[in-house]
Amino acid sequence: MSDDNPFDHSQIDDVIHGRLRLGVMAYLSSVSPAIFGELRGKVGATDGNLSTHLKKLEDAGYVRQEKRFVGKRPQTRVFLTDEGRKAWLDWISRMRAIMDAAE
Amino acid sequence: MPTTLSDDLAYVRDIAESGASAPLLGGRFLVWWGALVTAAYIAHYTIIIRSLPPQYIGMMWFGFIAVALGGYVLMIRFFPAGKPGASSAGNRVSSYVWMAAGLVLFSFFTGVTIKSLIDGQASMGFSWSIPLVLGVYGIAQLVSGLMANSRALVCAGYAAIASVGLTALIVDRAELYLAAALAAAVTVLIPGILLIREEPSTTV
Repeated sequence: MSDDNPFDHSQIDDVIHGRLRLGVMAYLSSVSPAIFGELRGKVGATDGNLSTHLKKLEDAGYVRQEKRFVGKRPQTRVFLTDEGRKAWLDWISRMRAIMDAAE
Repeated sequence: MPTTLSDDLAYVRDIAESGASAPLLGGRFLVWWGALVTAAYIAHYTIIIRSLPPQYIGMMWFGFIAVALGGYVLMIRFFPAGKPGASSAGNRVSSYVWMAAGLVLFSFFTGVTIKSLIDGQASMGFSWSIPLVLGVYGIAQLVSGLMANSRALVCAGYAAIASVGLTALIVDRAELYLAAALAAAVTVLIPGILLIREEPSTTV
């Protein structure tokens, strides 16, 4: 059964397991909501690149984006959803299992 | 360049830790309240040692409440909405613990003021409010500092807690207000200035 094999790649959540998306999920796990510019600074991405990856996470239901105006300036806030937090914890567990098995 | 699983995990850990230890954003509020409370205690001490009419004390404190609360409301209204880390655990806990602290002090001073009006003289509760105020400051600063890994706030919290006992020792002396002014400056005003210096820029 695949659950018994920690090295089974199909058990790793591809939506999360990209470097930039990992950074987004890691930051949102401790700061949610985060402002778009705050996330951009943390993960070192361009606006376009971050938007693309946020869209993938949003399509998976892991994050939610909310747009608002602060004065006359638009601001996007990114929230980690409950589903996203669960997926994030599952990913950490999966990585831990791989590391344990490798040892 | 390909990355290893260890690289990914180290990266994830760095990012998560940076969020967990995001700078606290309440520095301006500490400076506002710390400066006003320090000034008010010095004014209270001055009125006592110069033997000025006691009603000056009541007038001074009512003026303090009007200015402090008015300014506080304006500061909340104009607080920048684009500060990074505003939703960090440290910032959320700090805002909750200060909200609780404010409610405790509001409840206490309401009771003491009503008691004074009923009795027709200032209640001893006003003098005992100083150890209480410093205790509340100590709890709020210590909890905020521990949550946000801020050594300055942790030290301020312990200093405020130590000053609870010290001020209780001199609760019946005029120097109580001088000690309270010093404690407010050291445990609220100065940490507030330090927090403002560490505050990140606004982003969108």
